[in-house]
Amino acid sequence: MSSIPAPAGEVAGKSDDRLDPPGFEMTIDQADLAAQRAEIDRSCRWPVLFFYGSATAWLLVGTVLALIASIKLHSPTFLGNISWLTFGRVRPAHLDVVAFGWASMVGLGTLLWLMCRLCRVPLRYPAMVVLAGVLWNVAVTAGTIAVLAGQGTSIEWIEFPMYCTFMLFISFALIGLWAMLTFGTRKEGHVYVSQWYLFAAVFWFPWVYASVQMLVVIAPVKGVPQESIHWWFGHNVLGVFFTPMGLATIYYLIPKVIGRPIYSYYLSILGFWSLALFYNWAGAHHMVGGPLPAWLVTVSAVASIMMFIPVITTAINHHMTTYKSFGALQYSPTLRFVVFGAMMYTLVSFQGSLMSVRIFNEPFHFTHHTIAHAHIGLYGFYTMVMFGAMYYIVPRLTGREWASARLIRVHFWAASIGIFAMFVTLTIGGVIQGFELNQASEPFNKLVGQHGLLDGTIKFFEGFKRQNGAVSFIDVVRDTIPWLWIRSGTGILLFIGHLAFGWLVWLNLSGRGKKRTGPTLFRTDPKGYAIATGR
Amino acid sequence: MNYGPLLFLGAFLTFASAWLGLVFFPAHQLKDLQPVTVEASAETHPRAYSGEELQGRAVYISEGCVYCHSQQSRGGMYLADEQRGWGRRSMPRDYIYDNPVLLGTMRTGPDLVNIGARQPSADWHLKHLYNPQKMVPGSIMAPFGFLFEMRKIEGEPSPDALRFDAGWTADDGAPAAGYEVVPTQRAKALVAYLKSLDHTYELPAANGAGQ
Amino acid sequence: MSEPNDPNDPKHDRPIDERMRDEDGPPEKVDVNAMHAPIMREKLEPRDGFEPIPIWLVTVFGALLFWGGWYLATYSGGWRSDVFDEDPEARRIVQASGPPKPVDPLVRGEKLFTGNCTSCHGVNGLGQPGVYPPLAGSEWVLEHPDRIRRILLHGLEGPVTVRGAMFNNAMPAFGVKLKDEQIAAVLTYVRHAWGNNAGPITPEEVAAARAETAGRDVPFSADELMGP
Repeated sequence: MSSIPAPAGEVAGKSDDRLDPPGFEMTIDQADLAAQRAEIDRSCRWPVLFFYGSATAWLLVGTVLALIASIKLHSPTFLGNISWLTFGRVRPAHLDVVAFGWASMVGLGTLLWLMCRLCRVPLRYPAMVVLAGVLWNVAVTAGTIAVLAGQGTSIEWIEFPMYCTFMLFISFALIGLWAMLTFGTRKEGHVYVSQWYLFAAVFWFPWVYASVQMLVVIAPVKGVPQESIHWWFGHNVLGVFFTPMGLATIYYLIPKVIGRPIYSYYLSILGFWSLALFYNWAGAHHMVGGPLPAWLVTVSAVASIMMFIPVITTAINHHMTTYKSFGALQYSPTLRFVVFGAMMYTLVSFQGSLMSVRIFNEPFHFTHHTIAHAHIGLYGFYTMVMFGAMYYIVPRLTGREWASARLIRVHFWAASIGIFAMFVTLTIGGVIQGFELNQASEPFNKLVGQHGLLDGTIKFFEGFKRQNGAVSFIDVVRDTIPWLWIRSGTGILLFIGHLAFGWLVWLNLSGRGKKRTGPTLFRTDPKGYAIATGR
Repeated sequence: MNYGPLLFLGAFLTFASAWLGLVFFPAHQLKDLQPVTVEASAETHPRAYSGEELQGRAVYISEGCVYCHSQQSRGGMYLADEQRGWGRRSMPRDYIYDNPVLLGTMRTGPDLVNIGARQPSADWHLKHLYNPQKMVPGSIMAPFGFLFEMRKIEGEPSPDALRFDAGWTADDGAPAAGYEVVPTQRAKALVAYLKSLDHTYELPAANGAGQ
Repeated sequence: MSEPNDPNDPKHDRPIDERMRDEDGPPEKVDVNAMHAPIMREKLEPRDGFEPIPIWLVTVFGALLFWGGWYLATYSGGWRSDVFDEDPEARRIVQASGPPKPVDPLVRGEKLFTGNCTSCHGVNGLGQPGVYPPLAGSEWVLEHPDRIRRILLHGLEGPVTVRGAMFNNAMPAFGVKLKDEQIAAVLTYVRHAWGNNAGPITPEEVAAARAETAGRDVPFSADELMGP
């Protein structure tokens, strides 16, 4: 028997039929688990919120840098002739802020919470973790200022000077150590699939990062092998750091929100190990046609196509888990963001696999098509999943619900429409650019202007020849400009979404805004939500 | 999948295989590349960069030129690069003096691996950096006016001063009477580097016949 | 996975505050009122289902692996470090060709043109309006072989009118980079391509122009070339 007083407003043992399906009884043991979770969340509060708050601030900074870079591409004299805002510095600053500021910190914050929840232990050694977060912030701040000041290395994804990379490495080592210590004291025998991915991320990323720093920056190997190592790293930042954190989050949040188990443990295993095997062999697909031995490019092309295996496996696993509960998407912000992200994961991976094959790579390498791919991956998949994670986790840490469902709605639609429109825009622009650089005989815009859209397009394709350098470069540039304008528009849409999100986070963390007692859902009929997520 | 050490071993082996394949073996295969002497002209290619060219390379890195410009002409089935006049297929030996190697992944601007051969005019490069839109109408390249100094002519005009013809107005950046536009050392070094980018020399044929 | 009410847990029927007690420290009273609503209403932690892997999926993956193996075997260039182009067909043709045959100057000229001139004058010799003059139908190319020999040797700077249009740019000198027979070949090609139909230019003519302008180190201007 228990001496716990009944929770306010509820009788111990009676189900909360606002949210649980009929017949589900809240037993004393469920109350135990809830108390356990409460203690875990209480211990996670300051460390995770520190990471989340920092990440949100970096997101806003990174979005401003992105807008500046995007506008400069079609209007080069915008803020022109200012050295610290020149495109060659603003663009890498944007990349590093969104990758190491936003994406890394929101992922690590989520990793902390997921590890604690899945190991069923409270967060120990918070000082270690907060120190890691402080060091990380210092490194990203110093690194971004350095890049804008012209001290960047011009090696994509590792532009920060040496002093920053040391700080990042120490910070990450602290997190890795914490993860091992936490895992060592776990109270849960079964290692859930999310934890495999989180461990993989924590173990693989320092290895890649240390390798590239040693072999390309500190004691560089001679010549083009640097680029092989560089892009092995560059691809692995996405493949073995962000993707596993994103997948771990999806694997946790979807079954958690809808109350169903993951469809197949066996598919989870197949998905994990095939990703481990193939993903990190794919790096040389960034250098197809380049000054490297053919075998290297072939190996990466094969690995990239083999990635269909883990991606299809994961997609089936997620889809079969969720499809009976699609109705819940009308209600749950978390689910909406996470499911959107999961679908974009499938899309971006299919696109990526196809782009690695030489026949598709020839026209699309070096074009805006690559940028479309990068954004739909890191934003459409990873960032949207992390938005979902923050919408779920923050109320559990602060004890306060989100202040406004309408703002969440604004955020979701601005972000999802913005990123998908950016993807479509840059894909079309990149395809035109690529064909004009490699196959076309006359510029697309000129033909469409002369003959109308349909006939112009037909004539464009009719003029194709293999290995054709007929279209002058400046015409190629000219034809991409309308698409770059539209892209800036989609960027503004994303910025609006981020302002809404930042405002919501601020309201929640600072305790302002309307106080709610129930979850902030898109629709306010809890019975419908119960039915949608019921068994 | 509940056994930590087994999970670790699997993660280690899968990752180590790719480390061997993409990091170790390419470095091992290509580590002994040396410059070659072309018999007909008795020249050695590639040649190491001079001091000023290395300074210029540092400016190229500092300003992030690699984010718009590639430095590799593709070959094999990708002969559009050669058709476009960007040069013969780039090979590993072309890059042995490059540190870091700046192959680039975007062609927002044209490829530059042979720009020194295509455009050897220092004057063109300086003016183009100063106002790209004036030199190439429709260009979206960033203007690098901050690499130049507009100053009053003291005594004799500087020999480095840019010479503008009648087509340049004050809006384009032409100096007023009594003033001159002088490139900074960074601009001069950058142009020296760009002019050194010339890999049009023939290397022994690839594709199995040695490089 | 440990069940919530696992009979093997020795403390499973003890009060919750005792169960949550830190092993070493004093018992901490957990105030259930402090449990937040979001945590109370959560569903169970995620767990695994055990559906089998569909057979069709295994078949598809087997096919992919088979394709991957074939592709690796075919396009790896013998795993050599000096094979850059994966297509064995192209390599076979290159290795089978014999000693070089004498090259038609037009063919040679076209190759030189492609390698040196197309980035400004275009593959079709149309140049770029307002920036680089056209060579197709250009009176400079067709009617003034002496001018174009000099331009190739020393470059051209400043305003120039071609086919009625004004241009004002800088063409680099090729006299150092290209030998006389190469300049002759490319000029011959230019005078014969894209509808142009003027006579060839010989290496001797280029050599003579080179000798006449020896010692010059600045580009020509249009006025100089058109002069008396």
